[in-house]
Amino acid sequence: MDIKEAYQILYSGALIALIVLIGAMLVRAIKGPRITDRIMSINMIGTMVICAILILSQLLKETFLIDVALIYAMVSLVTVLMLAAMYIPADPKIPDLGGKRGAGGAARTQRGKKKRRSRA
Amino acid sequence: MTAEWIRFFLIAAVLIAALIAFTGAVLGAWRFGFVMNRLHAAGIGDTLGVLLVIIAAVISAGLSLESLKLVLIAAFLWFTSPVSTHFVGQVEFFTNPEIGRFLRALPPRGGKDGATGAAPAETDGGKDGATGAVLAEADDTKDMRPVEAPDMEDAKPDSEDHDVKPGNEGKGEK
Repeated sequence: MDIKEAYQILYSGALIALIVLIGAMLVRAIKGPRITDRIMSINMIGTMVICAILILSQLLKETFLIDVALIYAMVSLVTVLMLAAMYIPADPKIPDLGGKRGAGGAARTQRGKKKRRSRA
Repeated sequence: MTAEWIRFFLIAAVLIAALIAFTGAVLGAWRFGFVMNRLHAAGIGDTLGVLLVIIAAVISAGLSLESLKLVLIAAFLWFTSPVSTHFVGQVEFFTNPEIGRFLRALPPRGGKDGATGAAPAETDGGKDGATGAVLAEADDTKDMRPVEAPDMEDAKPDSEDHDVKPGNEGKGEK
């Protein structure tokens, strides 16, 4: 087997595997019960897309795709930080943790509500 | 010719390891039932997966300006991944009204006696931060809240039910 063929097969297989994993994380982002699940999935999709771009740069022997990956990393960071900052309340309160060991949260919710204090 | 093939197999091994790391991250994101646990799993892909892919690309590219940029990407991702993970955890901590069901303090290290068992550095360091205070407070005789709670004595210790029981688990179909 020619070595160019071997590289082609290796990089294409890696790209296909990454696409499957990205699809799995996309389903997780759609199904995620809370907003944090979705943000986390978007973060992971961004990471895997960066890796896919890097593999593609080696497959096509194109140097500029590495710059694209660097920019993508920065944009992905800004995306996640903005999405997260949008949901952090401006006056964050320490949530009630339901006493010791955090087991019976529902029972002590009423008492804890009065004690909430904003972060210093 | 043989050197080329050795390089190819090196790249193949590192790439396959990276894909295994990513598979572990995705599997963790599907199998775990709570966001904090999923964030832990996502960290695998953000650090180990990216590192291995970039090692493969550096082996493929050789020593040049190209590989310098690749190392730059790795460094950038390694610095920013904890930041975004921390932000997502903060969102979960401040917006989930039932966060108390999922978090629990660690039992004191020296057994039942909290005064001798708990590390003093941990309890001191926990006083100033919001999340740190909650997570690092290990003393059995104190309330978990960083706020001084006068009625902490009547809180019955829950003997069992220490397990994290997520109510909203996405049942992993993988």
